[in-house]
Amino acid sequence: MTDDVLEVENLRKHFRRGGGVKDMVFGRSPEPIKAVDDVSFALAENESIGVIGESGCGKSTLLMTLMGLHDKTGGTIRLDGREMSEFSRADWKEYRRKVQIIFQDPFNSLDPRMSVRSTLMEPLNIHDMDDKEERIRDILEQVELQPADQYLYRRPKQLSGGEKQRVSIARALVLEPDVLLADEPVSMLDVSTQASILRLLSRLMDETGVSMVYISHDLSTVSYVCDVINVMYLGRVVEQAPTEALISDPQHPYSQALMQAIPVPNPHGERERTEMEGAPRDPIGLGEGCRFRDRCPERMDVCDRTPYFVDVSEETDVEGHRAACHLYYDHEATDATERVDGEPVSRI
Amino acid sequence: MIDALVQNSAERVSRLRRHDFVRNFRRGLSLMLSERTTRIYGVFLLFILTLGLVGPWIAPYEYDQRMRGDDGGLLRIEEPSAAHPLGTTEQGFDVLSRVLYGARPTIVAGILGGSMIIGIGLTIGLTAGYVGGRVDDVLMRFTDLIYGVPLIPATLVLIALLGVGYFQAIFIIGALLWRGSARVIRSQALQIRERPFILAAKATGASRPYIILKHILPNVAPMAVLFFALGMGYTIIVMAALAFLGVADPFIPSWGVMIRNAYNSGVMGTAWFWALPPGFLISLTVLSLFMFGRGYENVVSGEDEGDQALAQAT
Amino acid sequence: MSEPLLDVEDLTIQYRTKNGMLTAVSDASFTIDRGEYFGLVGESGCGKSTMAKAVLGGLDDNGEVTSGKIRYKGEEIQDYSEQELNEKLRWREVSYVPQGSMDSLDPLAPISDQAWDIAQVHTEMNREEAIEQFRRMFEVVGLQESRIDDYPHEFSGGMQQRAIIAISLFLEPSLLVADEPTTALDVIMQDQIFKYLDEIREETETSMLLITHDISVILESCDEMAIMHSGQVAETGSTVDIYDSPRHPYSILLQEAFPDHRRPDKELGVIEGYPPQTTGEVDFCTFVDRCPWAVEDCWKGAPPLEPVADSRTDGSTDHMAACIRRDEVHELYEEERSFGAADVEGATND
Repeated sequence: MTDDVLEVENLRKHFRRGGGVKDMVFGRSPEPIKAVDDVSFALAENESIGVIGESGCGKSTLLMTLMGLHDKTGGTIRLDGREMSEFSRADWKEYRRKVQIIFQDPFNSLDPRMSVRSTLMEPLNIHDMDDKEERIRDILEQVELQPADQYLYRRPKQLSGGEKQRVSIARALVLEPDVLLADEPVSMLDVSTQASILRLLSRLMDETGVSMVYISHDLSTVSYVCDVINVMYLGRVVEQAPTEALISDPQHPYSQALMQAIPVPNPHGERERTEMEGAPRDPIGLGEGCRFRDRCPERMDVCDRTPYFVDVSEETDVEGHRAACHLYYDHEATDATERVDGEPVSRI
Repeated sequence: MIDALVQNSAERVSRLRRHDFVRNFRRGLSLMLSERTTRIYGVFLLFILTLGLVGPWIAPYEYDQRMRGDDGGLLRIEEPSAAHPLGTTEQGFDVLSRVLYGARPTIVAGILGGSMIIGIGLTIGLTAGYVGGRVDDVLMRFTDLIYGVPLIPATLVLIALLGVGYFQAIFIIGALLWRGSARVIRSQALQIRERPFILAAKATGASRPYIILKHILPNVAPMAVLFFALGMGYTIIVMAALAFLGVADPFIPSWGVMIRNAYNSGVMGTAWFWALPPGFLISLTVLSLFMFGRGYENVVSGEDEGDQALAQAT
Repeated sequence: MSEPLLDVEDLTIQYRTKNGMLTAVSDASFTIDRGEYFGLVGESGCGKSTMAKAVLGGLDDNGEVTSGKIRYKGEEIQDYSEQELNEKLRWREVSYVPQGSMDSLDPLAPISDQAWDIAQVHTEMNREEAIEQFRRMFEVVGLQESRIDDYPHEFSGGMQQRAIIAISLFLEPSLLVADEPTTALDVIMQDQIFKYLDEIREETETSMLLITHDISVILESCDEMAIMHSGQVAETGSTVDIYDSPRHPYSILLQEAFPDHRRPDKELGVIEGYPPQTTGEVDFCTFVDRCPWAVEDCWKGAPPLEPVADSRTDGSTDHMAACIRRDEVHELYEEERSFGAADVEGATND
């Protein structure tokens, strides 16, 4: 546990909403939007963790909070053991070198007025690193933009979508970070380009030993680069498992529905259409209980209580497989819901 | 050794040419030349600018030189002739010379006023837009206040306080007219702020001032150029208006002052050669500034959006 | 065989731009029969969206059909005027479901009103009849009938998209053109929508032209399909044929590049280069710079779309490919694969 690069425990990010008239009259502050509510995971060295979920599940907010671009509302984030709320200015500077981010949209990830060289020079300047020119050339080679000379002075306009993403990746890696946060970096690229970028990411992970948190709504790309996958629903992680296990034997009813709904590129397939109705609720005023219970085919009475995040390895025969579902633990044995800060808590 | 020197300077030049600012500038320039509107109006502006630069030198007479006829009498309000292509004024000055001399103060006023407008506008707009929150509220309320101030009456009041003067007038205009540019630049800053490359810079640890200067400012540059052009235009017009109202420095022979003099003399109706040239030139200048500014902004931002749209359209 | 519902023949569509006549679609041909779901797949720049717009007469101002024909129920429609399109074609015969439903619904009017507006313009029905028909369609797409008077914002994204499908179907058109109808939606919502589209196919004779970059959706939900590359149609045929025996190099490589979540260890194929933007007449195969099996002749003329020899199905469907080497490529590909030489490592220039 202690040699984990990034440790996230019971992370919460809530957004306050402006109130309506009723709230003003009754003098109460409106229910916050609990975009990320009690998320925990640990990222080991050179490990890549995927987070999948539909829109509104909180994965983007999670990433932004991990990056420090949002202030967290609760919980802890530890980098090399040091907790984020205790960061000094120097700690933050360090964090901003060791944790880097790649975005989804190739068209807007690069400053249109800056050349490739300037874009790559910027992080090096901010962190005052040496041998800048050399580092830039090396990283361009690593992301397969060769010969480097040809690309140094190009503007984003003169690059294709795939090339732009490579520059984004180069910008993230030029500081030799420990953690890479990737926000669906291939979803806006053509299929033929996706493959080369995914392969690049795989290779770079092998070469540099960097760890990665990769979020996406598309399971097929996530499964290509990640060892472990977290499934998020309305702000919570409902299942966590090694990739193979999640795909072949999902335990949580939501994961099961998700796996079942993914189209298969095969006309002979006998995949049945989803039985699921409705859509995820608004993440407001959710209160206690399992957030999936309004759509869950296995719903029971006890689901009005927030489920614990338990080990389901016995069911699947796979280590490190966990799900937050009442189906998987003995309710006699566990008592009242544990609380921290007045909120139900999940234990790893 | 000479070779090495030549080599070095050649390298330095090529590195300079590849510097972001230079490239952005050159791109802006080539875009300007490619569009017909900006090209035409750009040429007019160049012409006006040239007048401003060399006017006094090519003027056939001094601006305050009284023209006398063969009989020694003052040549007042003479019709255009070979010796005086635009005729003479009531005081006997050569109109053409006064027009040529008058270019400079008019244009300088425009440049100073425009600079002040865009300077304040950018500062307030960028800060409010990027920093947001309280700062934004305060700055925008202040801007609203200035918006509420009616231009000419307020200018008159301030002139009464600060005294009639060329620089005073420019200062007052600049201090009031920045309001339009601030709003628009603020909304541009708001948009740019959300784009991933800004978040990426923040994620790398860039400081706020750094991001504003290195990322936001270059990306609002086309809009800034537009408001600079508009600012210059408005300054020139308001200066002329003030001159006409009689509260401009009468000793600085700007075009506005010329029109005022023509009006004062009471012969504006008949002495068309006196008021028309300066009036026409002011109109031409301001029109060119407006059209050029608009055209420039259109072309430059159109380019950026166009690429993205085309890529996603097919 | 009865006459096809939609017959696109040698269609060329170009856009007038500063840099000349940009060719978005070049000599494209395919047909859609009644009651058939037809998928059109390709990457960005391939011309599929342009094709969709052309069928509806909705090309941008600077776009025009410069040659070829579009025949709907036997009649040529590529030169129809706006009036003819509105009277004869739109909504009643051919309707449209765009990407990003949110922008298509008027936020200020209840959905039922919007449906009535359309019925008013294009049919002779009175309001009761129209609403009744709309109600039924609402049910078919899985939305509660009682909600037809709700405003768009009261529905979630997926439901809005279904409402739009209901609107586009309630006047019982023969052809539904859907341009990336589920791309902006989550996978469960997408499946919900396709469940209803399946039912619609069972219960009516409606055909669909489904345009998307997601080949899995097409392989699962469509009967026939066409693959486009840079304005040219590379291959057409049944989804089964194209999956079982792809004959155009692009069809082969595209399927290789598609990740499959059931096989996370699959080596993803890479296609070098990127689709060229073409101007003027296109007299070569646009895939030539990216094709591992290209030869000199590939530059010498646009390859015609011709039947494939030895199609594995019973030959009743027209399996065609636009490649002069269509009958040998799949063998070459099989050979390369078994020798493990299909991968190309090293410098890529995508």
